Amino acid sequence: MKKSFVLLISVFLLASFLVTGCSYGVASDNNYTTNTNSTNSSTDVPANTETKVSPDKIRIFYITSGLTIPDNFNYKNNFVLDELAKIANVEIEEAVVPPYSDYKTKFNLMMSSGNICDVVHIPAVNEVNSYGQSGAFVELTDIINGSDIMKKRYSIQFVELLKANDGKIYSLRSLPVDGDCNSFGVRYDLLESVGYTGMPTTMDEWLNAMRKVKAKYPDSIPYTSRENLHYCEFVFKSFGCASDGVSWQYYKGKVIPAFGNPLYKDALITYQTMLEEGLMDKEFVTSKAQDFQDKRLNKNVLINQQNLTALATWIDRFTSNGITTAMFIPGRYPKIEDDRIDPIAVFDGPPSIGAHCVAISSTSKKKDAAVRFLEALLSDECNNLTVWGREGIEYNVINGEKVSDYTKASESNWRLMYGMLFGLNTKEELELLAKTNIANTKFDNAGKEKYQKLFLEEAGKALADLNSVQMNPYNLIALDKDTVTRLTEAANEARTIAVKAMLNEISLTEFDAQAANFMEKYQFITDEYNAKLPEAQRKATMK
Amino acid sequence: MSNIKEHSTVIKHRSHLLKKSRDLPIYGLLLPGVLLVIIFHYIPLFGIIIAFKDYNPFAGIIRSEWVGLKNFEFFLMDENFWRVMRNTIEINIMQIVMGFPIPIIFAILLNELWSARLKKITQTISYLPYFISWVVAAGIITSVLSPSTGAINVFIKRFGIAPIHFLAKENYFRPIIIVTGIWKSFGMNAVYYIAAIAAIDTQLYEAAKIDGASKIRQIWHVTLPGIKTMAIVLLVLQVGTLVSIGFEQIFLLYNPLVYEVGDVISTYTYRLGIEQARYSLTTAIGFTQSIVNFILVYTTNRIAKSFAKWSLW
Amino acid sequence: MKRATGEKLFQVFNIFLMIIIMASVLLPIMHIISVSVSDSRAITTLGVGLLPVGFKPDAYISIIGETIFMRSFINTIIITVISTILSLAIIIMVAYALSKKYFLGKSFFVYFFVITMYFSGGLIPSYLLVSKYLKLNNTYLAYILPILVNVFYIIVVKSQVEAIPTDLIEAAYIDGAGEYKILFRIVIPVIKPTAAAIGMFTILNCWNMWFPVLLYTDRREMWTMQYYLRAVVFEKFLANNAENAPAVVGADVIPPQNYQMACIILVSLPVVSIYPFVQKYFVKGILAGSVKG
Repeated sequence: MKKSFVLLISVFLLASFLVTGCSYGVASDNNYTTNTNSTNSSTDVPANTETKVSPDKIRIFYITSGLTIPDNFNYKNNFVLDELAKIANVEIEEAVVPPYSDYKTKFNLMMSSGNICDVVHIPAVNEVNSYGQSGAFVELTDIINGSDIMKKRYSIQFVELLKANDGKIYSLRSLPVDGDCNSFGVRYDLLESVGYTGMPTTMDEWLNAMRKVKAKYPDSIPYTSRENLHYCEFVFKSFGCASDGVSWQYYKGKVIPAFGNPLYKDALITYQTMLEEGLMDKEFVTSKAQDFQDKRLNKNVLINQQNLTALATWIDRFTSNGITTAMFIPGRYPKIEDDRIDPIAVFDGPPSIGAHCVAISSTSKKKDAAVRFLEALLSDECNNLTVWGREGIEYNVINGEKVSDYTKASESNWRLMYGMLFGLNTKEELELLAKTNIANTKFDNAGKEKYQKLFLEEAGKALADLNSVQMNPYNLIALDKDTVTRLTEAANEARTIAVKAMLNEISLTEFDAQAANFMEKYQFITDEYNAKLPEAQRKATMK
Repeated sequence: MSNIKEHSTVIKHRSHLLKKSRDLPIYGLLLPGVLLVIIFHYIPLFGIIIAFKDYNPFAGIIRSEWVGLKNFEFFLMDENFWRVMRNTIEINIMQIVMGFPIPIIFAILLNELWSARLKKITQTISYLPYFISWVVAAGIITSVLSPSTGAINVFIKRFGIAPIHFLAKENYFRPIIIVTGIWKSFGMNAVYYIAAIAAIDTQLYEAAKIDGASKIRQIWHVTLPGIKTMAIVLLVLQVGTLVSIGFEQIFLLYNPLVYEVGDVISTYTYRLGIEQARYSLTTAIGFTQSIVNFILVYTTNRIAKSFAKWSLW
Repeated sequence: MKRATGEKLFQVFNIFLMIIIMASVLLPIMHIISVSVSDSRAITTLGVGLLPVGFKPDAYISIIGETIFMRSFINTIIITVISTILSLAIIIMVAYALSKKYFLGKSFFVYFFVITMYFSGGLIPSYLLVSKYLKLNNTYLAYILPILVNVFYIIVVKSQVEAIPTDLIEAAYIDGAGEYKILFRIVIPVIKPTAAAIGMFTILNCWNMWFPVLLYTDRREMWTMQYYLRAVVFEKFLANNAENAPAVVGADVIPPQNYQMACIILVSLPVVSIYPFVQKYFVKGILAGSVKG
């Protein structure tokens, strides 16, 4: 009896160990493998196209950047990746794509295990540089110099911007986008319903517009924000203060803490007024993403802070949530006449190099293959595939111009995932997105035309504003690792002070005292910023 | 008396046998457990060395630079750390003081119900919140406490009182954390006590009634002593985690206005350690927490031993 | 049975209290269920209270239809079953061994196990061990092995075994029984309720497991239910609440509320429904396990 029991248990243990030792890794079948009928005119094919050489196998790590990916999608084989692999003459042995919410953790885990994929894509500049400095990633300066296509895409200024603190380049970064800027979406239909025929221009006009909307729709919240002062730029930026109200900022040749701006209190007072009059959502402190989205959709929010390209996406969101009268147009920051305002702080200037990094692991055995893959990512084919799709399927060429088949193209929105180095929010993309989404709205043809015209016009004006000043050197300053930690804590402290002042929990005199305290406590951060400013300024104004 | 005699014969009996042959099967039983513990607990334990190094994941543990107590210095000198430590301990003590009696009271009241059916139904329903994740619970809490649409404020408004933004006020935040924490776990915790009460010999109640004891006295003299041991076990365990608090609950409910009173070690560690991959720092903090926990449990265990003649080991 | 008015009053008060407690639990749950079957547009515009607005179980249908969901479901069941059985086996074996009054090295072994309750190497060393040195990435073993030995439960069972009257065991020795026989014939029947309790907790633990998936798995086919829930449904929700989510086209999309709630119900339902049935054993087990003498 005893013996048979023991035997039984041992057998069971053994069996379960064997079973559980197996892993499941069968790639699921799908519709996205390379279509043998795909037409693709190759134009700018980089050097290595000898198909006689068998493709090298590489492993890649990349993220979905928050895009909606269909169920059963094959991250290793789909018509975009297959094409890129063909151009680079590689075979994707494994594609590690973590769920978007966990990408940072997964990345850190991969790095800590030392088993790094050959090519790594991650939107985390500081981490990549610091791992690079510890020897994890290949130094790319010579490689860039030796690659035609890399030199074509990255101007001398951009190459300069790729450098880490130690002057070395550890990753390629996404090219600056020309179609995006920090802006806000205006519910033009609400403006029209209270009698406006054009956008308000000054801050006072905007406040009046908000009041009129509130008077007509008592239930509405003309301006919303979210916990952590997300989406609060509207007032802060117009006064030339730090856009989130708590960070350090560039101001007339120096870097100052947010509270140090001479107009900071004016901004606070404006917020106070908006909160008191019910023009701004009093509950913003506890508003989570879900509530925020709900409010935007249903509470007749006049001013919706967002970047341009995301605004184009929101057009569709109103349609699909049944708010069919919404006309969502980009706005320009209100004018405030005051010499103390530094326009660089308001408009921020053309964007610097992006935050999406693509790097090559230094332990990779297939470095040449990895380089070829990077070149493939920068190719024209890649750009075309990711933005437009396949000719004849997602778009057609009519009279020499590309015309998108909106329905078919939106089925493969995931293509954008592979356009990492081109930046995801280019002007081309913006226009395409806006036109696609406006075409889907419930307006009649005249309405759609008006919508499209207004949207693209105002977007153009916002972009012109952006480019009217030089590149903001603040974005080019990289602090020491230890200081960065203190920076986060400082931001949290500053936020508490700012929010309490906005909500009148502390008086303005108290605010002055607390702000002075704060600035003294973190003086060392201000000092470090200013020490690094000249170098950043040099890079910002390079041609 | 007879026990002792038998006992000594047993001992004599035992000592004749070779300890080995008796002990061998025991080692056999221990083997799988010991192996697993060595592999999965003791080997990683050597990883605590990370706390004393500036861990560079790429260089590996061995080749990372030795920095001695620098990591410990960092957080011990950080005034933010002491603030969060203070918050953690204060909130935890309040949780124990308020949260500890409630499952007990609930169990006792439940036991006093006449209808067995109602007893079962209530009990089953009471532990449901335990199965809900904090993400959901936080969502519910936020919407109930909302100043504009929340049930509570809608109710208050009827009496003409201005709505209160509960989650944004420092005074309300800690009570909210504690009350909702209790809501979520009291049902499950009460199960222990319900079990203990059910095991009390009914004869003791009869005896008390015969002696003329009222309901309250019965509870005091019969029920409470009966669950004494259980209560002490759970108390020791809860004290053992005094310096750690669940991360999710606070992370999902806090906001800048209440950092001062709500920020705790786990959220602090999350920001510093996980978001910025500062492994050495997190390990150092974790190590310190373990030591403090251990001391606390050891002390409470000792106290329990002397007062209640029971201990965890 | 005559009851005094005082007692009746007390009973009324008690019942009233219980009703309030039940309401505080049931109302939010009713709200969740209602949201999960309501029309998604109605949720955002009108807001849903306790009753659904428009009955639309679309969310449930679409979730169950997804292959990864079924895959995760199966994975979770496999892990739960194997983990619970193995875990119980080891716990009982170790607890029985440690409950013996005398054997060479007993206190050593007791401390050996207990210390692990308080000190652990932390996240990174464990991760390195499992994924780099043992190469258990993407296997079920990575989920099962690390948590197989739960020292707290060992202690609980140990104290219960120690509570078994020694005469019983001595009598068995005298009859010539070996250790294994005693284990199976005498000890196990006695600790059955405790084992059921531990089993229940282990099942719950395995069912809710998601962190090891994050650590050790790249392949979507190896996901568990909680991780699926978290990754697919809450993915954008979580990403939006992360401090530094890069602003990307479409990154602001949050899955509709009914979808989220449906997922929550689906994941919590199995465990919640098993519990009432094992409650009997559960209660007996907890009791016997912790109260000693």
